[in-house]
Amino acid sequence: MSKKKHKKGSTVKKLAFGALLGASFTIGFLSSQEQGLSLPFNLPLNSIAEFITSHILYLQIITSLIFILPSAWMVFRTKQLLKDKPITDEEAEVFDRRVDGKINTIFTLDSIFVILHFLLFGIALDGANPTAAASIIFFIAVLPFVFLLDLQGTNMLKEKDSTKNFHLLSNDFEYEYLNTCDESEKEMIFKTAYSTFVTMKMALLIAFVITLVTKQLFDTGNYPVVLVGMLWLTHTVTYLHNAKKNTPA
Amino acid sequence: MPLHNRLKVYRAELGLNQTELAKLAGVSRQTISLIERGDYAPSVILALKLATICQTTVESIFQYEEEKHETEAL
Repeated sequence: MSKKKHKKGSTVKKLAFGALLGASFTIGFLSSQEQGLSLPFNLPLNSIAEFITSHILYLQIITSLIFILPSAWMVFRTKQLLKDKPITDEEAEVFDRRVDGKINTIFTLDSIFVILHFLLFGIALDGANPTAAASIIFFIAVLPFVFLLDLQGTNMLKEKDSTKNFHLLSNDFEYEYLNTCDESEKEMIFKTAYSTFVTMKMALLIAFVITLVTKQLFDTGNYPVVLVGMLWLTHTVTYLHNAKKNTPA
Repeated sequence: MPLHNRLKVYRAELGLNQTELAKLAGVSRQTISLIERGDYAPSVILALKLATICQTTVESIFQYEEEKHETEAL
């Protein structure tokens, strides 16, 4: 990254951090006042929540279709691609880029879907949900399909690169995969992990401020504030502990 | 990147493609491609491995050229 771009990025981050702190203090001050903090208009939150809860099964089905069908299509297309064997370096370059791109798309779609699937399942577990039983059955029934798609993705990865010898069902599958990577792949993974850590620091701070706002505006209580705070603490402590562990004596 | 290399030249002399050289060096084809493009600086171990495969020295394959502003700063 050039120095100018880096300076501009740092300035933006400082401004964003300052804005977050300012917002937190403002919220704190306003909530301490007699009139408290409230929206200038009525938001029919209860009606929206009821609507979502009573129609959650449809949301689960739609989300599954949006993510699983394209993932399955990617699996099919990648299998077709793997039938071609590149000969020249240029063909190998194009082949690797296309196959890796498709496999990454499969894993991305599956990962995002699993999170949304769990999220919707969590919302479905509600006494006000008339289709709660159907939601639970649907939740359990869809998971094997996602697992099969992930399995297909890993099998295709192994077919493309025979050095990638890891098992999806293994408890240490992430570390098994890391051990099969060569030095440039490991460097890419480490850079990605660090960038994610830095982004999550900001994301957790923003989430914390949001819980302060919702506590005042929608009376969500202290639980979300404490939960996000604990996640933030876990995130930081885990990094510090691993940094110490990985530092040579 | 200040590290320049002639890996492609040596590879061509050996009559190997990137996949074959990668196999001999124990890395992925993408790593060899990244090294040849100058987008990745190999570790000492990998550089020595490549030099052994190409039957030459590391310095023959890889050359370090400091950037002008670094030299001026010194």
